[in-house]
Amino acid sequence: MARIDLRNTTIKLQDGSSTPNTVEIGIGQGNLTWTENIEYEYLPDRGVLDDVVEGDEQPVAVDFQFKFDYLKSAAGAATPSVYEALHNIGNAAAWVSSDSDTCRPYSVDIVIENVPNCATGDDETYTFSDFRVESVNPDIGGAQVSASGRCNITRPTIVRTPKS
Amino acid sequence: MKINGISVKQPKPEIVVLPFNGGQLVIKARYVTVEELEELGKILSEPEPPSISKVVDGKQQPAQPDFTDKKYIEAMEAYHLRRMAWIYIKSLEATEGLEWDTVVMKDPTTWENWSKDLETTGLLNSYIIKISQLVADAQGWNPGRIEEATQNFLASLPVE
Repeated sequence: MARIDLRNTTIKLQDGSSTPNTVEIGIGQGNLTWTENIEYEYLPDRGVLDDVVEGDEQPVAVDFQFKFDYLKSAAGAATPSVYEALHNIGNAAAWVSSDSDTCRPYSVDIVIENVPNCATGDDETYTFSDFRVESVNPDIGGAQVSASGRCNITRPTIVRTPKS
Repeated sequence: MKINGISVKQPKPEIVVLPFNGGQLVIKARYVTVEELEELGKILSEPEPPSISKVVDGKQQPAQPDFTDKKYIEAMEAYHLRRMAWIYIKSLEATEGLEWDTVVMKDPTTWENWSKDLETTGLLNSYIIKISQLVADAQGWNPGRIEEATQNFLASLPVE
């Protein structure tokens, strides 16, 4: 996979409203990684490897650490912190869970827009739907945040758009 | 209110007569009032900027409106185009028997079709420009007319 310069990306946390509430994170330094776990069950035939079947689906694990240059809200809304957006509190108290099933715990979508700083490369959008934070470590003084959690999907949605 | 005996109230519609296919098209454009523009605000709201909280020297600053946001600028451009289109349509309501093909007043997404609708009637491009000027004149947007009226007035004064 090609390396993405995070200075050309915006990372948004986005809720499930029809006109989504967002907090856009301008990344100064940091990284986002994810892990897809794919399970297969190998069924030998009298001790010899033979059939393979898919095991249970596993959620995507997402981990990020950012030192941000700015936080930006959706138009007309107060800017929440990343922490507030992940927890549905403070300036993000009115956010609606991205999960369409309202009985499930609160989640947000993580949307990464990569706009390469060149004339030819395609723009890319990575969407990690229904991310639920499981560990968060904000550093208010350092304008940093790190968090990890899982998404209720087996892989992110990746859309490429040719530059117009 | 009167100035020098002239009642200052809503101006009369501007009129232009365009010869077309052996007949005449009488086009009228009227002034769109402030009250009407306020009504427009109820169906077409002005975009709001996002707020941005920057980090300076490692410290997060209070959030400020971000008027440089690309999407906000695009939304403002679209808003002004749509607002302007509405003024043209509203002004041309003074034209008797004018029926739009695709413009629907209740649907702001159709307002910008006003010039396309004029084109599809087969009107000459120069006529469409003339109609646009007529609307602008009705709104008092033509500084040349004010200058002309001022010069005519000054020229009519007796030379001392």
